[in-house]
Amino acid sequence: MTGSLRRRILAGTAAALVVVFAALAVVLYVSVRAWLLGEMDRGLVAQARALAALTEVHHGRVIMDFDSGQPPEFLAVEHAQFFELWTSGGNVLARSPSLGDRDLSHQVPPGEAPAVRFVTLPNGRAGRQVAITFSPGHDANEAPTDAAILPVTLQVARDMHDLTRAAASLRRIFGIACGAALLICVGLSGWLIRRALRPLDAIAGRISQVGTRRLADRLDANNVPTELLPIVGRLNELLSRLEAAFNRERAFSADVAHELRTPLAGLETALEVCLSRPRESGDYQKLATQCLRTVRDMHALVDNLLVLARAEAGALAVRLTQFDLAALLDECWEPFGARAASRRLLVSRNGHGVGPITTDREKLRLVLCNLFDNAVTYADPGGRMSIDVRRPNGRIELHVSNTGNRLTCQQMSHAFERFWRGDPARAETGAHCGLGLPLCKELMTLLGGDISLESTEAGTFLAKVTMPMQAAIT
Amino acid sequence: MRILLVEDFELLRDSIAQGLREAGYAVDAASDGEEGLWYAESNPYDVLILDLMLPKLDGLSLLGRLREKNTQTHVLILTARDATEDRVRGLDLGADDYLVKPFVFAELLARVRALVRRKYQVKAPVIRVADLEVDTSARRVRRAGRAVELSAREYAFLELLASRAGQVVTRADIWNHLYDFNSATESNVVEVFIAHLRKKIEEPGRPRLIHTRRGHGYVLGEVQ
Repeated sequence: MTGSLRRRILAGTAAALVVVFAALAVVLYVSVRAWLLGEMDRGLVAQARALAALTEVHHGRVIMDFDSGQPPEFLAVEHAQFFELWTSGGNVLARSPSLGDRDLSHQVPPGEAPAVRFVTLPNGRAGRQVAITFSPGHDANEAPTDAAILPVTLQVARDMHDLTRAAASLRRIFGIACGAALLICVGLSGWLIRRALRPLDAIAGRISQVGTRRLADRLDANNVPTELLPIVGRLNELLSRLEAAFNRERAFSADVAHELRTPLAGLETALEVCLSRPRESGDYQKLATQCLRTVRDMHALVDNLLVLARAEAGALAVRLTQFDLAALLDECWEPFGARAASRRLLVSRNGHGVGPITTDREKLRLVLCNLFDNAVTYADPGGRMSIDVRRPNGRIELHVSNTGNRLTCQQMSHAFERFWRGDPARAETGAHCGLGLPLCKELMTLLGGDISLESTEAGTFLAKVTMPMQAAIT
Repeated sequence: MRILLVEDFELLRDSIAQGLREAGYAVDAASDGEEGLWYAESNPYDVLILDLMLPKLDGLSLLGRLREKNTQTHVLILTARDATEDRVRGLDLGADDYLVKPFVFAELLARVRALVRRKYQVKAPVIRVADLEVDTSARRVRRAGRAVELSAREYAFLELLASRAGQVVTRADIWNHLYDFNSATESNVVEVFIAHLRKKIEEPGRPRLIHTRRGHGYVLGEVQ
């Protein structure tokens, strides 16, 4: 069941209250009715004993001595009461006028104690009847009474009408009282629940104020009920993660803007200045060459961004081919040879006999070119760089290292973040804008391999690529 | 007027420097923050054009260090960072103006001119000395209503004299404000420029405006 929590709690509380009040009403009703019945029975017994006291043996006959005539309740009126006196032999000695010539149902109590039971009265109504057995008193000069007569049984019966009416009143009173109490309790519960859930509304209010511009705000855990503390805690954690992600995205957009704006400004200014007056053809050629280089850097930047974005979105297709790794290494190294020579780098290389591997050649080429470019750029002038390929356990391990590493371990842990650069005030604009290593990471993951960075002995930077001999398309 | 340009992106640095030189400014260009700071501390520049994201020493730190030393150079920040907080921080650290990349070069020139005018406390773009008019926005000169054609360097020379009209401008001032480190100049180049300027500005029958104070320098204005 979904919907309002308040309504759910209220419905549950109301259902529980209905059950409790109904049970309470039933128990009360049953108890009070039993008590009323007990009172009625006690009244009947007292009446029976009073009638028994009026019964005596006179001249060998059992008579009931009503000094002032029959009590009015035993006359033949509506809701009259009844009595009937029996001999032990089962003959009727006397009966109330209200009985006429009818009989009460004959009942002989098993002992001295009065016996009470429900009966159907001669007028067809439900009634309550008590029977007592006793031996009536007699005058001292009277001869002992016939043993066949004594002891006598007196039955007194009364209509249930009063009790039924009282019970109906009770039911009505209890029903109304319980209903009213139920309504009050449900209303009170509703108010209490609303009050108890107010902190939720407060939190909802505060959450609704959180926007992308105010992600640094946190929900205040003070004055929050204990039950809501975990929720507030989790929400604050979520906000922290969101804030971090938003800040990353914001920084990323700013970095992209910077990386594109600066070369764009260069192109615009160069062309504007060039066109401001007539120039020699050599000047135009020089400018066109410079602009072309800038445009190619921008092109590479945009390509890298696109590949990164596609790799992160899982939209980069892998095309597996079998090729010679050594040939690819040669091909990738070729454009960097001249630069390495101009920086007087001592380059060592092995891996000529690694043989064919199966993977996405183009993507591996991108990775290798990035690593070579970094090594040639960041090695100290006159330093060493090495390209080392091994094949342990059916996997390829490719190490590209260079001397002249100035990065600390802490700095290196950021090297796979987009637009991160070793120099906090950043290296030159254009190439090496901090996309190469993140791109390598994405591509190696895609090819079922991995790339990690290490700072080995005395300022050597090492990029370790591992990958399967046979990449699988996942 | 002498300008220091600190920008790490080569194409942009070269083209701004070229454009400024062609407009008659003496320009020194540095490609990182440390080099920029060295230049800025070594010479009294009229305007410093400063990129913010620089290798070795970022632009805001450079600016902070210059202002700590009470350097009076007017600073124009040139950057791809356009967030308001960046601008505010730059201006609070003592920058005089802010231009976001990419920009139109004409706007950069206009802002540099405005900063030069501020430096010499000249509010109006046209400086008048007797019947000589130097329009610093249009970079045009007229003498008694007649247009005078000057090369960019000659104009810069005249503008420096005009902005301090009536005061002696020393040879050292001229060196500091009109020549950059790349200028391969002979020591008598100042005299050569003065001779050229006089030829173009002075007219027979009109009072001389450029006067030599031997051993001191030059003064622009009518001598009483």
